[in-house]
Amino acid sequence: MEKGLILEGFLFLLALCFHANAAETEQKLLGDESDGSRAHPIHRLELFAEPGEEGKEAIKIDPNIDTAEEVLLPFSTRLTCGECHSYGIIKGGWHFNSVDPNVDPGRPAQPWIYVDARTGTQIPLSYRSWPGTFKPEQFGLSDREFTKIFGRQMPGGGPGETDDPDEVMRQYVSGKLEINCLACHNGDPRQDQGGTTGYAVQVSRGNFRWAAAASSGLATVTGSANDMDEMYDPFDPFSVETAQSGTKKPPTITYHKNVFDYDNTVFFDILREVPSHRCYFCHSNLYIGSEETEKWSEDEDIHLKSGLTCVDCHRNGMDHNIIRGYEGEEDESDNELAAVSSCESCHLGEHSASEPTAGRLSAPVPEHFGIPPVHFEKLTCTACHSGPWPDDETHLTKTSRAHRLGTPNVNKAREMLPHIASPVFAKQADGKIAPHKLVWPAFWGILKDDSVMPIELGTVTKVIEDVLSKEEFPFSGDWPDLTDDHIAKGLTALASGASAEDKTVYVAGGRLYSLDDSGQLSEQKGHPAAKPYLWPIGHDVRPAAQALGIRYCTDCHGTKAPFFFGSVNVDTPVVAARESKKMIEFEDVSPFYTWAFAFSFVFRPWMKMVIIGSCALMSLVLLLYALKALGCVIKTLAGEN
Amino acid sequence: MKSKRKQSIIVILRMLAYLLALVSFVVLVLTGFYPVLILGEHISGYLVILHVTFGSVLTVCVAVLAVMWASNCRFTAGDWPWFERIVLRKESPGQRVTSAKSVDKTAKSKSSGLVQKITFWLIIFLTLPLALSIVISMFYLFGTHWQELLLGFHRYIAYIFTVVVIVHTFLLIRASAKK
Repeated sequence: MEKGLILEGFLFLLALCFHANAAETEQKLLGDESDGSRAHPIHRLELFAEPGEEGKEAIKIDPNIDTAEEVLLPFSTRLTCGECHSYGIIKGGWHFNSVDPNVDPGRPAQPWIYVDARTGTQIPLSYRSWPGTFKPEQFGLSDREFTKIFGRQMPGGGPGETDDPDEVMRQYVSGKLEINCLACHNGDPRQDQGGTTGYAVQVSRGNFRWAAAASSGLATVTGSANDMDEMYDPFDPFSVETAQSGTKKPPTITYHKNVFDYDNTVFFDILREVPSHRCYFCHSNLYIGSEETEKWSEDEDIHLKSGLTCVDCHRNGMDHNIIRGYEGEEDESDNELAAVSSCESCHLGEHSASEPTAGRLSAPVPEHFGIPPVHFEKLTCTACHSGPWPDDETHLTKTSRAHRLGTPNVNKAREMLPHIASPVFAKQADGKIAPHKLVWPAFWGILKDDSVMPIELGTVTKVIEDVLSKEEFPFSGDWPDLTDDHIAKGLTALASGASAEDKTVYVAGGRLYSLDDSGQLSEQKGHPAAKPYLWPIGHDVRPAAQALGIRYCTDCHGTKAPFFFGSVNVDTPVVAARESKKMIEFEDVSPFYTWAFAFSFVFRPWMKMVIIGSCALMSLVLLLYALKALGCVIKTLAGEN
Repeated sequence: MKSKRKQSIIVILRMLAYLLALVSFVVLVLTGFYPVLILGEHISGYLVILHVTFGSVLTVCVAVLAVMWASNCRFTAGDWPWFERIVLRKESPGQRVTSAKSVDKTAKSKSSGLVQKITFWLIIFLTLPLALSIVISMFYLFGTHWQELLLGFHRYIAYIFTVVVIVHTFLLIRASAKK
């Protein structure tokens, strides 16, 4: 009996071990774990498309099918790349996990900014819980609508892949915006993210299912899923054929004939290390100075010019949990290299590390001659080294994601919304001053318990566009010139449709506008909901010879130095409220102290001279009496009196 | 008459310099040690401005005092009887006894004067590294590592300087009270 029990227990344990081992083996696909070779593996692949019905097998793509019998479908990255790489693991990466509420949002970063000059709206949105941003659903944007607007510069996944029970039919027509592996990893120069038939355009047409294939350089996609009604079946040849005969064309893919090999495999020029120009599609910045700004007139980040690429520092493994590269990220990230991938860890090294880490990737160890160490407690590295050199006024700044840079028909006017100001030197959560980009939120909302929730986009568009219908809107995409009267009318119109308990407000330029009991417009400055949203600047990094303080301390400690006393424009469509603030208001330091300290630098050379002179005098006195004493000792020792 | 007036002006100047130095010292101790020892953080804000300003004043005052008081504080034969004893051992036994007795008489009264003089010279001597450790770091000469070393050096010299100044002031007050 006892023997039987022991045998059973042993067998149970053995079975457990086998099961665990089998599960582990099952999870890891061919490309999930490297064998250690640094050589690039060849990617000659069969293409797979998603089946029309859930649970069915993936459809292997054959370009020679009879289109009367079957529909030629776009390949799915989930099924094609997912043959060898676990899609589920990649999906958890930073670029794709914004919709997961369990993911630590980390340091605030660039939000998606919805702008509409016709309704006076400029609102920072994010699925991540960054203070000062709103969730898209709070603004009345479904995941699908959000993806249609902003998916142009998203690498797929995230909100593009969530299931929306209210839009099942629409999602069936347009498909899901799967993670587009090729957006980053395709080395083919035909990879088309921002062309006229490229990724951005396909996303805006609602062709989510087709977007990755259309941009891959392997196929061309025409038509628009947006134009199809909800009953359209993209998997049914009859439905497709019928739609094609209409005036509005359905999304249709045509694979380039030369891309398929004899066995219907396709060669992908896959790059493990993503080239920097791929990152630039979503991460470019344009700082608009007083003169015309062009790419050729500006230098790139010093790291790129030194031969590094973005992914040399912003690394990730199979889980795509990319390093963002800020100080303290290791407390929030699971990436084991996060602790050694900040500016400090490469340039100064991690003192607690068991091995020397300074000088990684040829990073020079900075000397910081003449810089008192207190600066390193109060400032981030980027404060002196990153972003544009601060000017008397902040620069209007365009970013790829905020201004659709690199996509067709971009409004190139310098005043184009959203108005982002940079560099704004502001105190971060860790107490250090860092350069930031800044946007002033402007939106119509409901005030409840001292917090403001934005009114849904659909309502605002309907009501406010009507109120402002007679106004002139600048062709440049700038704000219209709104007056208090416009705001009062807008608030009245919105209040008429809202419940009696809801107090409608308008937030813009750091002020909160509302109607008082007598129907008069009142404004409140400094309401928390009206605060600007700031996010830190990491790039472009300037070389040491162009860092703040390189000339003299007065680069920052001058009585008019932009670092403390530069102007930050308060951006608002309300003409009467357009003003500017001093940079120091964002730095949480006393303006008088800062001015007095800066003023002391006028006398500092004198002070140095006086102290050195005094020390010289004391040295002479000491020397004189030391010599006298020596003389005495010598005389005494010589027997003289 | 003229020389008497001149003498009194010098005494007043010396007193003023001493008082100013003392006030500066108190301000420097408060502004320097309060944030570091009590709050546990680096000196910053208005305290820095005060510290730097009074640091300059103290340096100038100490230099003035060095010039004005050095002569008064030079060591004399009576300041170090033990030294005389060693030296006089070389001479005849009779002479030695006589000299030793006369030295013993004055030894007690001179010992506090000696400490006072030593502390005076120490103050002058310590002011040099104390002031220069910070002034030098304001030039583009030293990197972060050396800056931190200089700051640490400044701090530890300041501890010693404070003790020396307190002893010196105590002895000075005691001597004045006795007079």
